[in-house]
Amino acid sequence: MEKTIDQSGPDSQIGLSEEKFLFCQDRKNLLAIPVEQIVEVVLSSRISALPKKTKHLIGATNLRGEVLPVLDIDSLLEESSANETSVQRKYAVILSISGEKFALQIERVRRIVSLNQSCFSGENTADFAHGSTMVSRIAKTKDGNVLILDLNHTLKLSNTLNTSNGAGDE
Amino acid sequence: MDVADKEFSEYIFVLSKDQEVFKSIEILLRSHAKKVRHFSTPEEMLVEVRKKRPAILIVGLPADPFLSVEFFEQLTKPVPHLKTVLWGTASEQEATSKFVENKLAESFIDPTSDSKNFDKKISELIEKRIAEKRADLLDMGEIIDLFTEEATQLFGDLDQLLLQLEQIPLNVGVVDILFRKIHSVKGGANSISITQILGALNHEFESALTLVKKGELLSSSDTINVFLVAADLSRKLIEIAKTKEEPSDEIVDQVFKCIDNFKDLKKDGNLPHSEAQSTQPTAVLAKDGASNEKSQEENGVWVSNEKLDSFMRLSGELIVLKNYFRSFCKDNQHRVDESMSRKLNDFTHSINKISDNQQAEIMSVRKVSLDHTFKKLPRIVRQTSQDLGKKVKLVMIGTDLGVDKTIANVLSACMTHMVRNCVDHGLEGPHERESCGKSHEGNVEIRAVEDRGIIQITVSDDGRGIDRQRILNKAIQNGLLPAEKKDSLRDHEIFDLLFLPGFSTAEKITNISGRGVGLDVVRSEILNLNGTVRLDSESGKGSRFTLEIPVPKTVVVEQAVITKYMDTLIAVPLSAVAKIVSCKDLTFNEMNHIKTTQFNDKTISVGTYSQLMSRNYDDWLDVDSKTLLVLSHKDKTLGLLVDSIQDQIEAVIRPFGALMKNLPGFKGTTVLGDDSIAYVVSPEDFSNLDQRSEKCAEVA
Repeated sequence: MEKTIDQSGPDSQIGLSEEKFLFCQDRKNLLAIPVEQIVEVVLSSRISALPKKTKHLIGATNLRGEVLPVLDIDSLLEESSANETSVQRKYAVILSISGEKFALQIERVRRIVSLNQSCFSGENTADFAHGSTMVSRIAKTKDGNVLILDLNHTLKLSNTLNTSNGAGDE
Repeated sequence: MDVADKEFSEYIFVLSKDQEVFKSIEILLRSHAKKVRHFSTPEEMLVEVRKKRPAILIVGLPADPFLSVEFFEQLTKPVPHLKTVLWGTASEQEATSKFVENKLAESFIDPTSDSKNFDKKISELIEKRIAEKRADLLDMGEIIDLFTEEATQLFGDLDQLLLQLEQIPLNVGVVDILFRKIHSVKGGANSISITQILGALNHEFESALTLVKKGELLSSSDTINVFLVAADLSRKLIEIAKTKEEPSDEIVDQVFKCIDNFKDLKKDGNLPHSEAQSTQPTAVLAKDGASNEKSQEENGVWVSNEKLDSFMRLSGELIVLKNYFRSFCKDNQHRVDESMSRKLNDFTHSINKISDNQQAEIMSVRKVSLDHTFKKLPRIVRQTSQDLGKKVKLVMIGTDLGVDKTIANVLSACMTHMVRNCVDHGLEGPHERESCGKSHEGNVEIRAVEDRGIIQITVSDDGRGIDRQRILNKAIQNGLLPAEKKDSLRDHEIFDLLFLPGFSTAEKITNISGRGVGLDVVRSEILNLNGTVRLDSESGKGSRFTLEIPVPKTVVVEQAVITKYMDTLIAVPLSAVAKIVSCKDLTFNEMNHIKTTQFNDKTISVGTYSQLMSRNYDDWLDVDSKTLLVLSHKDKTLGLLVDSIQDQIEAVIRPFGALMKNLPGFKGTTVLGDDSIAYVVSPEDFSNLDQRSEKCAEVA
């Protein structure tokens, strides 16, 4: 069962077994990020490019004096951005996982939705997420299939910087 | 056993002449307490009451001549919380009623005929004792914390003072300092129930020092040995008190053994000097006299590392703000008149000055003197040399150097290993030394210096040096080295084998060394600090360990050149920039598919960051318009190509988090005045990006 939480909506409406997610739209994908991992959502600001292109990082951004790495959502979702039309990602979702803060740029932020176990289908995530390991589950909602992002994996990415097949700084 | 019984960990003593009767009482007591002891005579019990400080005493009748009011007073004097239960037959009750009436005993019970009441009474006493202890801890918790903190500080330099006393036995100044410290600790300890034993130990310590002062006890090697053991035990008891626990039986036994040793000393203090001795340099001894009475800690307050780091971060923020202000003024200089411009310049200058001073001051606060860190080493050298029957002189030079607390903690552990290693493996015994034409006393020298951001510690000895063949044989024997490789190894490669885990050439495992754990720990600890360990040795002349550790900074502020390559801003620490030159003035060559140029008659490899990383020069285009930064670190030099030089700033460097930590050649980021981010080059990592640059130079 799916519940939308508007800003005035009491949390008490949510059942104990339910999980809250922030629904976001990026390209054609509807994504859900666990709310407990989100610090805030801000308007995207300038991204400083890395000296070396890496698979999952596009650079760093300055959030009120704090330097945060910015993850490349196309890469996380194994999307081939080269063949798509360019997308304007106006928002940055600031996340904190195991004390590590980072930003994820998103095209649109929709709303916070509460999902219970019945929403999650047993379908193979690979069919929807192009084989991305960042998608842990698929939820069936009235908006369609939603990719639930498992951003715990992002910390494991820290080891991919050296081994990534980045094409250099061009 | 109920909840209260489980919490009860003290002794119950039973005085009974009859072993059979004791056994029947013991059965009743075992359900309440784990620690029950039987005594047949009051004298035996009295001695143990002082040592073990039981909570409950069960004294059997018929009345013994010792069971006088005085006897009970003697019992309760050292153990005020003691609760006594008398037992006997009903006919004996009247004879002992005076003890109960005078509140010297709690009650009279006959456990053989009324075991239920006996059981109940013991339960009551245990609950009462636990309640007392809880209340005591509640009241005394803060007092214990204060006492242990003060006692730790007071006893921090006890070992050095004792060793000074051994050097100069008639040094009244040192005796006075020791006396005051021990007296203070004794006083404090006696006011807290769980530290009574510490008070008792220091009472004997104090008495012995009084005799030393009067000249009735020689501060000989044996005397100092007892003093040092007492100092160790006192520190152990202070540490236990910090946990609000009572010391274990084992520690209590050690303390009473030490008290006995004090008593023996008082009987005959004129024992011969032992063979081994350890000394500090005369300069250090002269400095640490009575005038050095107050330790570093006594003159200030304790501040946590976290707090200092927080100050450092704030001070870094001030610099970021300063850079922002500078950038703002630069961007708006056309909007202000001359007078305003002058004021803004003055203001910028003032902020610069304040932020520079603030950084330097906070950095200095984090430092502790190596004197403090190395103070245990003379004691270790003394002990080890005594155990091995060697004569060793320890000299420490430059130990007034201040180092970051993190480094000091690591060095403290590492130096113990190295100094013991020198005394055990490095130095020969007195006879062997004399037969080699050396002085019978071996020398160990510790030298500390800081040069250009590197702390260097050397530990050297004038011993027999390292036996290369022995290391090789052991390494082959242990499967650490293929036999065919043994002739191709250079000296430093052979000595490096000693740093392998579990490697030891010692034939026997002793309490000093031989287990092969030590040098590998030293190396891994120093590597964790981004440092290096080197071992040099010359046969017959001695060995030298050299530790090099870069000075760490929580908030690193460095002058940096801001460069731009395509969309990326790269900050290069000025200290690593050997030269900045326009590429149109340079000639580039190619060697082994690497672009090179000449710098100071050396061939260095050049390229953009990505070219240096990938060694792929397919995009070697429009080079004349670029600028070359020659980066130099230690003996490595290479050239970084950038599009332009943007600025020179005081960069506050923030280390990378987990996601960016593996960006090769970089150590963090810095925020520029316009809020953009530059990636800061780590000269050390950067110079390793192209390992082949060195080889190019060799070929050239």
